[in-house]
Amino acid sequence: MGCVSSKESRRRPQGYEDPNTLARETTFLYHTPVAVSVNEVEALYELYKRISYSITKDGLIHKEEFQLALFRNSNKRNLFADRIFDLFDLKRNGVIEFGEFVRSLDVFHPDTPVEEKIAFAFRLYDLRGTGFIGREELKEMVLAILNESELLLSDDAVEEIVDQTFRQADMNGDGKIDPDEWKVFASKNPALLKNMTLPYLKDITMAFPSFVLNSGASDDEL
Amino acid sequence: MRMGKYEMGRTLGEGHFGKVRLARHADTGRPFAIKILDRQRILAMKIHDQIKREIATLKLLKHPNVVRLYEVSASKTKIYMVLEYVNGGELFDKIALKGKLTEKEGRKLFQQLIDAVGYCHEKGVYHRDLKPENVLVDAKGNIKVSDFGLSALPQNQQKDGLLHTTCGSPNYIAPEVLLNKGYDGSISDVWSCGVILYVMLTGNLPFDDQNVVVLYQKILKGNAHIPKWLSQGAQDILRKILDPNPVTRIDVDGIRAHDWFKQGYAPAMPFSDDEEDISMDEDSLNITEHNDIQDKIAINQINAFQLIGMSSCLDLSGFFEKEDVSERKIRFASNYSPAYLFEKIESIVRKMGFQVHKSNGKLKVIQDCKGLANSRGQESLLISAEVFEINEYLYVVELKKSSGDCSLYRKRGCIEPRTFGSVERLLTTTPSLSFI
Repeated sequence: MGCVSSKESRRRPQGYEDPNTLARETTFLYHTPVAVSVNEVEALYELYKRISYSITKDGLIHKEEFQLALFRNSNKRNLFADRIFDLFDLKRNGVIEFGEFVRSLDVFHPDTPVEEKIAFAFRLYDLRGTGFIGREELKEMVLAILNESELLLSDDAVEEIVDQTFRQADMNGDGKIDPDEWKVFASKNPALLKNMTLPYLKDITMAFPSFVLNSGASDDEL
Repeated sequence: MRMGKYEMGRTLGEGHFGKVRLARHADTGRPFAIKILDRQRILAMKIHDQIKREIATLKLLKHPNVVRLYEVSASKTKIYMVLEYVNGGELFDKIALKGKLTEKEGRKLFQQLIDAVGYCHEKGVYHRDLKPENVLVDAKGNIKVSDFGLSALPQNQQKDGLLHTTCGSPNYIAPEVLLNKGYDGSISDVWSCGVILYVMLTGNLPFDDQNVVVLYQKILKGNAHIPKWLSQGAQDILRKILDPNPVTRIDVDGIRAHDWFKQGYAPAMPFSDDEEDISMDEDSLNITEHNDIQDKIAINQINAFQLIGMSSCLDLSGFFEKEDVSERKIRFASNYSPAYLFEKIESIVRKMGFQVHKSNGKLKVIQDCKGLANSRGQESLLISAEVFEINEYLYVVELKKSSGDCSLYRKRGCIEPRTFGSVERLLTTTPSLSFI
């Protein structure tokens, strides 16, 4: 499978994971033959390197580097920025390794099944990790977006939008949105998942062509 | 033999670093040309930056008269570039077969060549090796410019804004390139286009000699013999293009404005990635009467999660975009009716020199920079305005840049591209519009 030799892997920085393994486990394999999907993961490694060496230069993505890459500002403190970082940090150790980066971005691939996108969005909005989205969490998120966008709405307007959304989503009326209710609600409102797809991932090899000089895919796979 | 989803076929050509093979997509049967490069040789020759540049260059170019790069792949030993397959052969062969082309035929192909080259220049890409062998002709007789291996992107310029490398084929090289004093890539490409036009119309090279030194002297003098049997217009345009002085030489704009060139000219439109993009013809840009604006633009009622989804912090496109999210979209709240808001946006942006179009429940704002967007094939700046209803008294207006290269507009001294910032400021400081 064109795996990296042990000698070479010793030289790999921390956080690195073999593209062959990652390609086999992600959407990058669903939509293309193995070697091409390995190339896509290798291209993502070029992006990963750029981010992980932007500030601390240790081959791991720290929160400041993540935010610098996304918002051109490493000090931006924001509820959603923190949530996204925490969801990418699968090991919960405060940094994002290459494997975590690929597996997380995999959700955003245009070919990833919508069920996975719905599940990811639910985890994103379940701020307390309780397995459901409560009314207070929803209000907190609405206030956060209003604050971020400098949109000034009255308390009544905020309450109204939260109430209205709960009326639509909380089908059993127990004051919280569970995963099944979320699935139904998101399916009826596909616009909710707009940010869950990154068209760029379709052409990732074109976006980061440097991978062609470092590819480890073997010829017989092509 | 297979490469991913492509079935490899016969060899179409061979070069120093590898070969080009015909291939078919296994699922669709569609033909492609796959350039296969030897990675070891590239690394040994230290031209890896050039290969990266070629890929970076080609992925920018999406035009009907430019060979398209669709995909890049690699193994430990090879680099694969999946290119558009052009099945009509080289322009060189077409000329060789006929001896020379009629002025009408030659002009049509020259118009397409200038469209392609002009488009590339708008993208900051200069070919630097234009010659009939690099100009392919498809089955319908249309031109496709290929082989950007020697092209130069703006980062190859030095502080004086000029390119400083000599490359290309001797007969087609501009005098300033030979002198290697630094040159404007766009003007040098124009010279090469002129040599190609001369060859198409006469069947001969304007400057030729078996002795390279003598050939260079002829090019530097620039005294091309222009046959009197060509029309006055053809003679004039050739004289203006084959001017050895790059400062006084006609440029792409000048060529497009030339009477001989304009005959029967129908500019090609570049392809767009944006499915919502609209054709730039005059009719489609005429906005309908104001009284039916509400019928034309759907107002989407928004729920809390949609509002949350608007957060720029949930937009991961920042990993792939040059600009910050805040440069691409902006939003503000208003308690004025959507009809009023759209009317206001329209009047503001029209005063700023934009054109307005309604489609898919959105107001599209197009920057038509001195009419260039229509004729140039450059990527126009496209901004969409959408209104979301929070409740019957409250709306959120979102202004979003859908496409367009802001740098083009800065370069041309047109309207400052962060237009939506200006729109927002104007809207929110209008006395009749309260900012909630």
